[in-house]
Amino acid sequence: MNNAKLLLALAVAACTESADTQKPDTQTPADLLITGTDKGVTGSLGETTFKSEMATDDVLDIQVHINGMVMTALVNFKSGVIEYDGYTESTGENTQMTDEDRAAMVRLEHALAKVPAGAPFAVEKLRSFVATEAEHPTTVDLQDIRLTAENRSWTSLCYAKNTYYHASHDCDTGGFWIDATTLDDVWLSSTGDLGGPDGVAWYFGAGGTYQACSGSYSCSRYNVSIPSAGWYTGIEVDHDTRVEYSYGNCFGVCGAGCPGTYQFTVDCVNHDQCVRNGHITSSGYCDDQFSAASDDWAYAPDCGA
Amino acid sequence: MSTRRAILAAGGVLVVLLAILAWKARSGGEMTPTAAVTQAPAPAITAPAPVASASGTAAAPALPSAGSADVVDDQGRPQPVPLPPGANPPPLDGKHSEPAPPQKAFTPAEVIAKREADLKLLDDTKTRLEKDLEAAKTAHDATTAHDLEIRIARLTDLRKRRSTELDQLKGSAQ
Repeated sequence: MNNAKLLLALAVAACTESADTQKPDTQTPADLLITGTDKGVTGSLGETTFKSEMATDDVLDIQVHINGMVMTALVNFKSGVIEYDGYTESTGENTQMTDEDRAAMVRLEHALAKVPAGAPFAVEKLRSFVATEAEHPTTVDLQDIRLTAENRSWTSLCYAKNTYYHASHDCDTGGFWIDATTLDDVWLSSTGDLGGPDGVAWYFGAGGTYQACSGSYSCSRYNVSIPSAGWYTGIEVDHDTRVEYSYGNCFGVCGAGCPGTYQFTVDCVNHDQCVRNGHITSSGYCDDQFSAASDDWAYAPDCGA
Repeated sequence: MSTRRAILAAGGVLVVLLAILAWKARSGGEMTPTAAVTQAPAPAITAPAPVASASGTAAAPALPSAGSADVVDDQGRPQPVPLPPGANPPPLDGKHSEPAPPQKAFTPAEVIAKREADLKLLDDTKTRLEKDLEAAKTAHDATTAHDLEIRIARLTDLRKRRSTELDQLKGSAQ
């Protein structure tokens, strides 16, 4: 938290597309700009602006203005309370997270992921917050309170990094730890995107027909043919009881994909498993997994890459 | 009369269509687990039609691909692709970590203590933002002032609601 007086000006290339390949009228500002303040940082990425500051020694205040919306997080590290809010920027009215909002948050997440390790606390927390909110389901209210404590609301899995760990979700209907909602062997690692819809690979123990699902609106089930045993990517396995192994795209790390910090937690591996094993990111079936994981970014340690 | 009947009929059709759309929106195609897998004739892994970001399941844009060419069938559905030889997946007999202990729920007294701390957090934040608002007005920074006014108004409403919720918690704890 000792980042006061640190004047930081980072210009991080946040877009892989070369500016000279874009037409002027479609060009968007590509650089992430972060500037130090007395208490933290402010910055921008195109029209998105943000501020992350320690209001006191114990209280972090994050604001992100994105896509016509304001998202805020007030974190009291001492008392273990988080207050979230999200509203329309111009009027202050309630709003919901839309696909476009999530896409904008993912863009900011990708930009912040390029900030080198060892960034000030306010930057580390900002990118963890953005990465988490990039998966905020439409059906979860933006205004929320979370009461937090280690092993009560969040549990670190640093000890399980680079090992297999189990993960489960309940489809929002209370189906935790049944075979179809559980993966016994998720490899927790910083391995990046392996391609396909979720960036993960699956191990199939034998050739045959398996359940997969796809769709941007909902995850519609269909069958795929696996020619022989082995690791495959390219698909989202859908609650198939014969598939237990998966890894990739920072499985178990809080946030969408690989956000640049590596907070492996119980709630985050379960949420990843929900949205990668039969449900889309914005699925209402994963609302409770998202809510359970929504405080982990603020407290869980970075286990490192 | 016939025109009115036609309009009514069209309206009826519209209502039915809207009902179907609403039903589909609610149920989608997303499945809760049934895991009913039949060994149906395996559909061939069809043409490797290269598709840029085969949308997959994420509503937000897919994270940058590792470069593997996504493959879809003739209905645009993603198909499995073997990991390339150099992918180095984890060993199947790799170490399996023990489960973390179950998370322990907060007691009613702990919830009340945290809720009281929450009210103080909201009060302190409002006081801080009001000072920032004064500064913004003095500096004739209309944009910042507007943002702060909105946030303070929401904090004020939220504080009232949280206070009511805390009273209810205290009442039910007795």
